[in-house]
Amino acid sequence: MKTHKLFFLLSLVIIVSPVLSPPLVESQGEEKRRRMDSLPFLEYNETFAKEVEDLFLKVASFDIRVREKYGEESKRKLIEMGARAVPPLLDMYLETDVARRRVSLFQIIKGIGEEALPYLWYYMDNSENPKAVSRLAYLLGEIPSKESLPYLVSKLKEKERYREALGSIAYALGRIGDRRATPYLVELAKDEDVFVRKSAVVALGRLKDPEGIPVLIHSLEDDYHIVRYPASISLKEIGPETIDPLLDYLESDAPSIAKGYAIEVLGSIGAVEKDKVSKTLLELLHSEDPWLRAFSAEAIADLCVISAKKRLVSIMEKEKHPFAKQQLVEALEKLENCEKQ
Amino acid sequence: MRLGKYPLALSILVILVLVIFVVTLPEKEIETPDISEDFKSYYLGKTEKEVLRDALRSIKMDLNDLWLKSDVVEDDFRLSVVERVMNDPYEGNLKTLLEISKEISSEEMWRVLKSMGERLDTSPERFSVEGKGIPALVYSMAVSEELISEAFSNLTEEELAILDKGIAFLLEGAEPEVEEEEFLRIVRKVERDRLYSAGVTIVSTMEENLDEIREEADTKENNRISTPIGYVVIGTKGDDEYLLGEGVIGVIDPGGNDLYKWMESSGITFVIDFSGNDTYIGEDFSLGGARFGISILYDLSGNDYYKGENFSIGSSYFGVGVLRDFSGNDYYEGDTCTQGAGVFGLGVLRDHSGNDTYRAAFESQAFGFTWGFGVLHDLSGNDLYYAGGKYLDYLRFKDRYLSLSQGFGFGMRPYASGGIGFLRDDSGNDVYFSDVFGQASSYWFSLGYIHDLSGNDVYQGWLYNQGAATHLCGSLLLEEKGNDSYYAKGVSQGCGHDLAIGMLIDREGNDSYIAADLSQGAGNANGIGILIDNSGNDSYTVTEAFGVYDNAQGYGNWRRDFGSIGILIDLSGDDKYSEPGRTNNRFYRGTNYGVVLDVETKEGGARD
Repeated sequence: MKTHKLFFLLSLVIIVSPVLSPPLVESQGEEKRRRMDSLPFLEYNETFAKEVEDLFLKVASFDIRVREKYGEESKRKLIEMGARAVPPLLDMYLETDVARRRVSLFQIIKGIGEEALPYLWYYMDNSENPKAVSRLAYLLGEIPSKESLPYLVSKLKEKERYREALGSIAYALGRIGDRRATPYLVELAKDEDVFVRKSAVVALGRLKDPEGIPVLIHSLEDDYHIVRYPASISLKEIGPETIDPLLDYLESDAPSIAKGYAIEVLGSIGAVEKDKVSKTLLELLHSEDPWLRAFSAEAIADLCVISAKKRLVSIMEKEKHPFAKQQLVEALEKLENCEKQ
Repeated sequence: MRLGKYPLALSILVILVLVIFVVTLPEKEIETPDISEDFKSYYLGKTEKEVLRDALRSIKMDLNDLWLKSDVVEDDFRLSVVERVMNDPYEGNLKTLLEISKEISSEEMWRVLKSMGERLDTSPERFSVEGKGIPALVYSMAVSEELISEAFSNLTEEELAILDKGIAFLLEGAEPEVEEEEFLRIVRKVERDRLYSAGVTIVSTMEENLDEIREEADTKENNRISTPIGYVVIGTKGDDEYLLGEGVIGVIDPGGNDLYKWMESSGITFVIDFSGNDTYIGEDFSLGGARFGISILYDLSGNDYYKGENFSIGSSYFGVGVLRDFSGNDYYEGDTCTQGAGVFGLGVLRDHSGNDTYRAAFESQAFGFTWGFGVLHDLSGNDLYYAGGKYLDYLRFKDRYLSLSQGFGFGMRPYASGGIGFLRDDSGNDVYFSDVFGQASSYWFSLGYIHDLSGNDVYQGWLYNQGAATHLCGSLLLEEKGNDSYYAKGVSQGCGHDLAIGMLIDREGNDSYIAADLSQGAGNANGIGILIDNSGNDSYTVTEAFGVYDNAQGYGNWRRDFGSIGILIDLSGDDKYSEPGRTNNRFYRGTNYGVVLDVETKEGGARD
């Protein structure tokens, strides 16, 4: 009986969930088609394309003399053209291999702003080249709009095909800041590629969604600092809701470096639960691991736990590890300043 | 008596006063202990690697965090040795430099060439040649001619012409009349093993038969030998004048102060000059500058003057170019791809003794382009290396010049990974001058190295110098001995920019480091910059002569949502730092990704 009930409940959840949280990909419908049909500048003549090209090549010139003389003015003119300039620019330079041109393209499209969005969506829908998709995704992140969400998420359906674009998609999802993206980002935070994981943990911080806390804490153990440090920043971004999970984490047998990040986060955001946090940090001053002792001293000072001074002094007198000792000395100096303030 | 009436009140009053006194008593000042002794006792027996690990631990990293993702861009020109450095930027980089340094110092040049070919992921062979003396040399040329022809056998005449046009990719201001992809498609068709084998075979035959060749030259003065590929001229012991080209492919000169005029050439060319103060004047592809073939110049004694143009003086474009000067104070002058430059080939300039001057404009003095390896090896003397002064760096400046020289690796961004540039100087007080890009630096999946073994040396550069790597590549300047001075404006002295590793290691001596920005252990745009000084009383100065930047001496910035790593470690001596917070026996962490660690180890952290 119990199994049947459970099965029934699960089925209900599966059936009802799309209603509760409509899928992002299919939500466009008619609106999308209408928009695609009404892009007046998709077609342009050669003269206009040449005009755009001439201006662009001045912006992205390899010659500093050209850039200084014409660069800013040309960029302004292109931005003033608005949406009209977007299709020729994308056609000519979206897949460029020249970094200077790529950066200039991004600056101009960003400068054009929201007007460019329908064209970016159009190109996103019609691009199969992962490099182009990656750059369009980046641009959608630079001009954040919740309307872009379905276009980005649609590419995640073919993750392997658009692998090159996953990092940019995560970046854009973070910049758009819609928490409906959290489940996608949690998945991307576990990706095999270190840069995709990095982009995902950064995006989760931008969403400030507590749902991201477990994967972010797990990311503190990543093999690469490229993921670990952004994960710690994201935990800080989410704020006090991370405190309890982090305190629990410090009780675990997690690697020393990961714990170091956890301590740093607590030192940064732990003030709202100062007593609870400082209790754990003070215990860590007795850790066998000198690096944890050092980072705990630093965090105690960051939290201005003035009452810890005597304890720090007594520990400092016995401390032999140079980094831990230096951190204790510096922590005491900081606490003196806290006291004065 | 009256007080006696209020003993309780008095007692309370006294207690109150005491309590107030105690409460208001100023708290005892916490004495800041001298932690230097803790540093000294802890680090005395530590190794360089252990100290580096501690520096990393202080910023919540470990040695395996010194890693660069190399597959962000992929191409089939990537050298395995570049991959090695990207995957292991500290140890892999250092070991690679030491291994190559040993390989290129072999007395036998053919071994040097073979090892260079192997570093380019090919397997050059040394083909045995019958006979002795000049006949053996002529025979080796025939064997090599066959190998060269095999190397290009997959190419049509039209494709060869396109390869020739590709030279414009290297020459500043030239417009290549060929698309990069098309050019590289044809490059892939060249059988490099055969090409390098041709160089190995001629050089080994020449070196093994040098005594016999000298004897024959002495007895067969003023002679002309006909070979299937041209004439070999045997000169006199007097002062001769030669013209290489127009049918003359080789000269053997027994003595005298000679004048050589060397026309632009391809295929096989060579000169062996046994003595005298000689003058060599050449066009492009001359003086040991090879194009689609082998070019060799051996000068065994005298104070010589070498003036070539592009691709000269121990350089190559699809081939093997060697210039070996055995003695005398020599002067080398050239333009682009000269003095040990390898472009889709091997280029070696080795000078054995004397106080020498090397002067070039661009992409020279140990320059390695795609599938290329350039070596400049100077064994002794107080030498001057100058590169720059001709081609403006108009991308960035109106008044600074491109150098791309002195241990510089370069690639065809974004189409093809780069090669290896290796400058080794064994002794003497040397002066290195370059402007933008030079002195153990690199660009785009390539390696740039300097290994200077001794002497009080001076390094001066402007931007991207002295262990600087830019865009996915690696570099290392390893200074073994002497009191050295390093001066640069910025992005130098152990600086990695954009997923690249730039390292400067100075093992001994009282050294001076001066730079303005992004230097002395600086990581920019997700690069890794490491400066390690093992011993001596050193001074680290961040000059404000060009503005105040606050981004040097253990600095790593935040880009693409993660950090760049900048590390400066000093392992012994009484050192002086211009920047606040950096001092003897201390950790300094200026940013979450930058660290300076100054400690006192035994013998500078006895390298393990």
